[in-house]
Amino acid sequence: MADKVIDARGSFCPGPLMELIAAIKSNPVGTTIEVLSTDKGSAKDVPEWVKKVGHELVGVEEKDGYWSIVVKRAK
Amino acid sequence: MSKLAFVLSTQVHEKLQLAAMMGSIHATVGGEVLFFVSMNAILAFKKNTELKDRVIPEGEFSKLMLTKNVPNFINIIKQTKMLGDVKVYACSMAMDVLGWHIEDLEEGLFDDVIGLTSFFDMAEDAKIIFV
Repeated sequence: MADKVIDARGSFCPGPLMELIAAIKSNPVGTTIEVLSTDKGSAKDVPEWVKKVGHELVGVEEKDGYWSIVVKRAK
Repeated sequence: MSKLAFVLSTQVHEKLQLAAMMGSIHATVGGEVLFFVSMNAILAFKKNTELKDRVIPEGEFSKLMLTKNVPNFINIIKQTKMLGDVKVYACSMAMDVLGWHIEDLEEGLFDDVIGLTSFFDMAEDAKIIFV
């Protein structure tokens, strides 16, 4: 279970990513954040962003009509 | 990390949207981003204006974005300014022609009104993207 859940369902790129970044900035290192997104592009792009900036991708899971992307703030 | 300098000259919705998205993503991975807003693009940044009145649609995508929950370019840039290294400058020539001051532009977005000499100085080590 993530420490924080962001429900970005219904928003399009780059909405889910921007909400994730804001949450990462406002929470301490070690926090896990789950982003819920109906935007297919974000399901691919968010993990790429996480890898590039050096956070930890805990998992990406396709659920019923949306994606769950869990990220841990690593720095 | 590299530096991107966007020269925004158009009021076309789709182009402004994509430029904002590109700048935003670049800034959130640690890059530096400048927006220099001139010509018709400055009209899209007028204060207290509805999105549909800010922009000119180029095609179908503008209509789609206006009807769906797509974050608009103004908010994307504003949000990115809080998260990364993004500076937004209004072109002094465009502002003079319109008789506008920085107060006439969308609040919390513009850092200054500058001329091309200053812009080129700031963008010396940047990749310039003309929109």
